[in-house]
Amino acid sequence: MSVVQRADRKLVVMKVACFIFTALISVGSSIGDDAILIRAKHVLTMEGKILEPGAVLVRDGKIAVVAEGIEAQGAKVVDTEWLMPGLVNAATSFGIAGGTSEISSEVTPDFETSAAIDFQSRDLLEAIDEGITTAHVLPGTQSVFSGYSTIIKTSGSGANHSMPRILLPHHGLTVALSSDPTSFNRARSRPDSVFVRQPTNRMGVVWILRSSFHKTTQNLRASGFDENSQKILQDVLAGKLPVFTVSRKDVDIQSGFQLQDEFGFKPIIVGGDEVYRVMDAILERKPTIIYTAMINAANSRELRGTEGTERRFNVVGQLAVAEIPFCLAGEKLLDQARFATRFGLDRSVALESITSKSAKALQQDKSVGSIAVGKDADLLAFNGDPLEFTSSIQWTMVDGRIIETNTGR
Amino acid sequence: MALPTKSDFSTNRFAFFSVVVFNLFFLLNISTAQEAAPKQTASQLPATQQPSPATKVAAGKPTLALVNGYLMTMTGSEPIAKGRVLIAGDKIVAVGGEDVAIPDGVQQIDLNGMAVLPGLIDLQSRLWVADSSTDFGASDGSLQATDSLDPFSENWQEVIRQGVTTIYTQPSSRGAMSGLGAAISVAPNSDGSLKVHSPTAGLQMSMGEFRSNRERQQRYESLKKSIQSLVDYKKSVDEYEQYLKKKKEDEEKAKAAADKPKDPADKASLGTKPADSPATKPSSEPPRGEAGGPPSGRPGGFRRGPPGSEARPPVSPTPQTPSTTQTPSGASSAATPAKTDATPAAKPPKKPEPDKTKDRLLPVLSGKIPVRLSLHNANDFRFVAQLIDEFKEIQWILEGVDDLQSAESLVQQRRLPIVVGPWLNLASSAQSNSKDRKAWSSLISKYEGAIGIGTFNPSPRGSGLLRENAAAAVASGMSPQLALESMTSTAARLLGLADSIGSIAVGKRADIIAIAGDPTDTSAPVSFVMAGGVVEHQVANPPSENKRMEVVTSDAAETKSRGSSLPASYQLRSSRVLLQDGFVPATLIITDGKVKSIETSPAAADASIPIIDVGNKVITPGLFSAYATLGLDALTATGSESDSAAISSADFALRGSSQQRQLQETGVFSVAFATATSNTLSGQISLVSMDGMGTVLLPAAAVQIVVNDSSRRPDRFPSSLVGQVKLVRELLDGKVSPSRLYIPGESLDRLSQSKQIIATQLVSGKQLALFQVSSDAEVNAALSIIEQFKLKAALMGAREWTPFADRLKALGVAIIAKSTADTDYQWYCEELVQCQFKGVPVYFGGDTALQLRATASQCVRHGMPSAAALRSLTQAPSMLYGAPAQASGLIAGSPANVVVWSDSPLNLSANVVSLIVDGKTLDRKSDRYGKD
Repeated sequence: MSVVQRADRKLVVMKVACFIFTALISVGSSIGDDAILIRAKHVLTMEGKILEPGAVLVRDGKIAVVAEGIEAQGAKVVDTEWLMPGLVNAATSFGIAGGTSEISSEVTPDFETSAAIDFQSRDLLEAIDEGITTAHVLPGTQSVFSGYSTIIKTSGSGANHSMPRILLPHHGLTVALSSDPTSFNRARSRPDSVFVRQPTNRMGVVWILRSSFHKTTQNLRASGFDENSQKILQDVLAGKLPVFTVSRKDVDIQSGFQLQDEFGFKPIIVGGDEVYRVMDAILERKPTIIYTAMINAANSRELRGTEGTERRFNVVGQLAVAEIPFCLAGEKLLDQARFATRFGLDRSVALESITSKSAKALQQDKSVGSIAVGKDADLLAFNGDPLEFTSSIQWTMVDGRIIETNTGR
Repeated sequence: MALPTKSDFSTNRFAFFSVVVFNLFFLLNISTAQEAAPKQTASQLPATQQPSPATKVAAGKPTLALVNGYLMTMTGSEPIAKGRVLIAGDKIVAVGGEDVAIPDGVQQIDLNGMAVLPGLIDLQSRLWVADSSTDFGASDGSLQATDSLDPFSENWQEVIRQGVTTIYTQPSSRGAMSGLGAAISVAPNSDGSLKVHSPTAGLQMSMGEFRSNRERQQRYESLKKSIQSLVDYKKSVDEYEQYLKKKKEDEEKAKAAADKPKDPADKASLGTKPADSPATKPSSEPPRGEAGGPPSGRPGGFRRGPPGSEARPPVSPTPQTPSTTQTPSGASSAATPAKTDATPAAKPPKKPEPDKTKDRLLPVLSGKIPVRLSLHNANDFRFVAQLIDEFKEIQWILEGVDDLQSAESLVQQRRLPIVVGPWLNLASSAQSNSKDRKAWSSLISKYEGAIGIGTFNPSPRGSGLLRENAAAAVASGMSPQLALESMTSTAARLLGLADSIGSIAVGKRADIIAIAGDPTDTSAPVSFVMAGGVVEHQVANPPSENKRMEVVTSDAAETKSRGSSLPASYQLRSSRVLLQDGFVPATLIITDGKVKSIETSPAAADASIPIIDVGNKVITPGLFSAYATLGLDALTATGSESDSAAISSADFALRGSSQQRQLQETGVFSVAFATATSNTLSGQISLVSMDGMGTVLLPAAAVQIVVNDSSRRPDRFPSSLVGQVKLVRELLDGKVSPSRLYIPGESLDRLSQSKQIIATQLVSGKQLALFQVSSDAEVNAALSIIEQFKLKAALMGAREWTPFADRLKALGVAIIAKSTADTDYQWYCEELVQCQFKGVPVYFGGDTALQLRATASQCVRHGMPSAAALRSLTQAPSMLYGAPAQASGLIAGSPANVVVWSDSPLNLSANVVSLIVDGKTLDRKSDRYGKD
C-alpha cells in the first residue's frame, strides 16, 4: 500500500513540475521542410514530466524541441491525443532466420545474430504495430555461450526505409545460465558422431561457463575454443562487453552471482522469474533485471525456456520498491506494462519499464527511451491512455518517420 | 478501362466475410436449386439467373462487345478473323464477323487479333476443394464434392489467369464409388459464393489399383452390387408410384362417376400428397432430374465434333424395361394410359424406405449423370466391360486407361468417352511418365470416341497447368484442334453442360479467353479472361511479339533428314534457325561433322553441296541445363563434416546411363552437373556433355555453396545460417581451419591444400560460386559474402528476387531459376522476369528437357523476350560457367550438334524432330513422344 501512496505522491509532484515548466517556444522561420510538429493533449516524456498539452518538434530524425506549446512555421503539423516515446524491447529473439543458435556446439560466443536477421520477417513488421521502435535481439539459448546480441531499430533501411536497421551488431554476449542448453543437446542421440556436444545437465552448464572463463584468464587454448572466442570472453572480463545471462530459476540466478564473485563481471539477468526467492542477494548486488516472466505468449520461443518456474505477478512491483534497476521485455510489451499496473506497479513506473528503464538496461538511454531534446525521434501516438486496454496505437514514428499502424488505420 | 472486374470485389472481400459466412449454405443452395430447375430455353435463362433487378433490365441488351479477335468458337465452324462477340449480362447474345452491329454506347474491348476461345475446362481438378477433404472416399456413393468446397480459397485467381474458367472435381478415387462430382466455375459469384454449374456432373467409380484378378473380381462385384441396389431401389420406388397413381386415378374415376359436373382439380389433389413421398422427390431433388422426359436429353452424343453436327442417334437404342424408363412425373397424367385398364394388384406394394443417397444417384441409371470410372490396365478392362454390358443405360466415361496394351482395340471398339491425364509430369526427374504418354498416344491416335483432358493435379493451383497438359498431349500426337476441343466443347459435353459452356455461341455463358498467339503454344500468354461476363484478367499491354494469331502453315517441307543417312557435306536450311538474336532464316553448311559456315542470305547457296530444307521447322543448338543433379542427390551421403568441397561431380560416371540418353534424345546436349546440397561446401559443379560418353567439358566450372537449410544438421557444424556463413568465410579467407574431425596428418595436409586451391580459384574469379539460398536472410548472407570477396557468383533457390535486383546487378550476380513445380505461384516467374528486365541474367535449371522448357515457357508467357529465354536455354549457361562458347552455340567451326524441332522449344507442344550430332543423324531408340 505504501508503495502506491508514495508513487501517487510522486505523480502529484510531477504534475506540479509541469505547471512550472510552462513555456511557449517559438521557432524561427528557418525551419526545414521535413520538420514535423506533433501536438498532443498528453505528452508522456518519461523524463519525469507529463505535458498537458504538449508539443514536440522533430527535425532530421531527432527531437529538436519539447514544450507545452511550440510555434514552428513551415513544419508539418500532426495532432494527436497521447504521445509517448517508442517502446524499447530489451530482450527478444524475433526475426532470426536459419536457426537461432549454432546448436552443433555449446560454446559459440562469435555467433553473429545480426547476420541472421530476416528483415522481412513477420515479427519485425508486427513490432511496428506493437509500438516497438528499438529491440535487443538475443540469439537462442541452446548453446551455453549463445553469441552476440544485436540492437536494431524496427525501421530505417531498405526501400522507403521500411525495413529494420541494425544499430549495434555486437551489443553484448548472451549466456544461457539455465537448463536450455541441455534440453537441446541432440548430440547424444547419435552415438556415431564425433561431436560429443556438451552439456548434459545443468551442472555442466555452470562447469562450461567456469572452465571457459578459466581458460580465458589463464590464456589456455583448447579445441572448440579458438582465438576469436577467447577474445570475446576477454572483453567480457575487462568489462567492455555486457553479459546477458538468461536465468529464470532461483538456483540459476544464484549461480550467476557465484560466477560474478569468481570472475568479476556483472551479469545482466534476462528472465528472472524467481528473483523474489533470492531477494536478499538481489538487494545486496542490485543487478539489472530484464524481466520476461510477465506474459507467456505462444511465440515467445527460447526466451521462456522449457523448465518450469514459479512465477508471481507482483515481482516487478517488489523490484520497483526495492529500487532495483529492471525493465519488462519479451512479447506483447505494452500489455505487459498494462498488466503490471493491475498487479500493483505504479503507472508511471510501468510505462518507464518499457521505455526509459529498458533503454537504461541496454545503455542506450542517451539516444532512446524518452522524449528529450537531442534523442532519436521515436514516438508513439495513442487515441487514449496507453495503459488502458481499450487504447490503440495510431502511428509509430521511428527516427522522425511516421508509420501508420494497422490498429491506427 | 473501367471494366467491372472481379478485383474490385476481392479487395472488399473481407468486408463481406461475415455476410458470406452466414449465408454461405443458403447461397450454395440457391445456385444448386437453379441448376436443379428444369432447363429452360437460352433466352429465358438470364432472367432467372440474374438476382439483381438492374441486370434483369439489361438482359438481352448488349453491355459489352469483344471486337477484333480471331474467333475460335469451338462450334465446328471456321475461325472468324476480326470476329465480334456481344455480351449481355453473363450471356453471349451475338457472335460473328465485322457484320455484327454494335449498338451505340456499348463498351468495346479490342482483342487485337488474339486467338479468342471459350474458357477452358479442366476435367479433373482439386481447385476449391478444402485440403482436409482431398482424401475422402466411400463405396456407397454418399459423398458429394459440393460438400468439401472451401469458398475462401484464393487459388482460383492463379488458375483463372491461365484461361481455365470451369473445373470438375470429385471425391477421392480411393473409394470404389465415392460419390458425386461437381462442375464449378473457377471465378466465384460477385458476392463471393461459389458458382456451381452442376453439383452432379459425374459419379466417381474406381477399379482400384490391384495386382490380382481376385481383388479385381471383388471390386467388380462390389461395384455391381452398388449399381444393382440402385436399380432395385428404383424399381421399388417406381412400383409404389405406379400403385399410388393408379389408386388415385381409380379414386378420381369413381369420384367423376359420382358427381360429373364438378371439376376435381388435378392440381389440388397433387398438392395434398405427403411431402416425404418419393413421388415428389425426383422433380425437386435430382438436379437435371427425372422430369426431363425421354433420353434425348442425354448430355451430348459423346462423339467428336461440335454438338450441332450430331448425326448419330444416341447410343442407347436397346430395349428398356418399362419399370425403369417410365419417369414418374406428376404433371403427365396421361403417361400410363395402357395400365389403367389392368386389373388392380391384389396386394399393394410395400412403401419403399426413402434413401436420400439413392434418390440423388437415380439419374445415373438413365445416363443423366455420367459415371467416371477409372481403370488402368487390360485386366481392369475385362471387368469394366462386364459392368458396361450389364448396365447399358449408364453413361460411362473411362479415366486413366494408361496401360491397356492388348485391350486397346477393345476400348477402341466401344467408343466410350475417355478422360486422360496428367500428360505433364513436371516433378518426375526420370521422365517416367513416358509409359503413360506412350500408351495414350497410341490410344488417341485412332480413337473415335470423345477425348477429354484433365490435369489430375493434386495441387489446387494445378489446374493452371491445363494448357501445358494439352501441349504435352499435342507433343504426344494429339492434333492441336482435338486438344483444344478436349478442353472446351468436348469437355463441356462430358460434364453435361454443352448447352451453357464450352463454346462461343449465342445463349451460352460468357466464359471467353484470349491468347496472344497459338492457343496450344504454351509460351503464348493468356491476355484476357472473362468469366460469366466479368473481366477477370486483362493484360494491359500484351507482349509485342507473338501477339497476333497466325494461321500456322507448318510442314512446309518434310524433313528429309529423318531416317536417312546424311552425306559428309550438306547444307541444312530452315526459315527458323536460332542464332544470337533469335530465329532467322539461315543455312548451316556442315562438313565432316563441323559447322563450316552459317549463311543468313539466301543467295549464297552453293549448288554443289546437297541441300536439306526443313521448311519452318526450328533448328537450335542443344539445350543446356544450367543446373542438374541427375539423381546425384541420392548418391551423396551426409558427411560428419559439412565440407565436401573437394568432390567434383565429374567423378561420377554418367557414361551410357539411360538418363543421359533420355536427356540427349529430348534435346538437352549439356548440363551443369551439380553435387548434392547436403553439405554447406557441396563440391564442384562440372559441365558434362550428354553425348553418350559423358564427356566432361569443364571439370571444375563452379563451387556449390549451400546456405539454406538443406545442409544444416543439428549434430554437426554448422547447424545455423550463422555457422554456414562462418564456414564459407573461413574457406575464402584462406585461413583454412583444421578439420573438426580427427584426420591423420598427411591426409589433412592434402585436404588443406585442395581447399586452398578452391579458395584461390573462387577469390580470383576463375571459378563461379553458386549459392543455394531460400529465404531473404540467406540471400542477404550470400550477397554479403559475394561482396566481401568480390566473387563471380550465381544464386539459386529463392522465390522473391526483386528486393535484391539492384544489388544483384551491381555485383554482377546471376540467377539460376529452379524448375517450375505444380504448386508454384505465378509471381515466382514474374520475379524472374522483372529481374531479367533490370539486367540480372536469368538461367534455367532442371533435370529434364520438360522442366527446362516449362520454366522458360512460363517466363516468356510472363513477358520475358523469347530471344533471351532461348539464349538462356541454349548457349548462355556455358558463358556463365566460363566454358568455351562452341560447347553449345551455333557458330562457324563448332561441332555440328543441332536439334530440329517441330516448333520453338519454348512451346511445350513442340517435339524433337531429329537430332544431329557431329553432323550425323542420331538414331533415337526410345520413342518418348509417340508421334516422332
